[in-house]
Amino acid sequence: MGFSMSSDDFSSLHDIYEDLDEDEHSQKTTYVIQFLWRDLSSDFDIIGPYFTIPSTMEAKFLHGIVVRTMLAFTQFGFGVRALLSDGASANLSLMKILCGHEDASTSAITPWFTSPYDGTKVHLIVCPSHQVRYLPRW
Amino acid sequence: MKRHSTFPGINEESLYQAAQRFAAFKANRVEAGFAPPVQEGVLIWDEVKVCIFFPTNII
Repeated sequence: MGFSMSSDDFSSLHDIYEDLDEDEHSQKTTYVIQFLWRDLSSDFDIIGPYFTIPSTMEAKFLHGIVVRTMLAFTQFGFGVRALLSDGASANLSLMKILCGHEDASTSAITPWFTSPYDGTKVHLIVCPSHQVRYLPRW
Repeated sequence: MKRHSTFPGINEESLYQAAQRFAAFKANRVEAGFAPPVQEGVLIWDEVKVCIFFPTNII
């Protein structure tokens, strides 16, 4: 798995690392979104797909990869009962959209939505460990 | 499964192998006397920033 560098990344190592051709239409990867699936009743994990993203990401791209990944797992028998991510603004916007709120300024009424793939509830969870901001000083 | 680790995007073959792996896992659990795993789970994702260079000569 290799990612190309651009010439401004490391001018001194420019000759060693593969250069991204400026004429190519591909963009340098800046972010990677990694998926995992964990069974709720056991410790079975699947290290799922990952997606590479250039510096700017459209919200609909995140929406697309989440629902496509959900579909792929459902198709292979791995039911998705919950979606868990951190509280980044893009993820929160996605959660609001999934709960049926076009207007992202209002908060979601229900923290779940009905899966379009198997008709069951899919709960939305914001990872609590990312919410810890202030630790008391004992 | 390796395909999912080394190339971006959804790979059906990797998921098929995961399904086979789960079938074997489920058979083992049932044989050992546990309740069968329900195959209902949570889909987790996170975003990381790609760092081309990181220092390794930390003293």
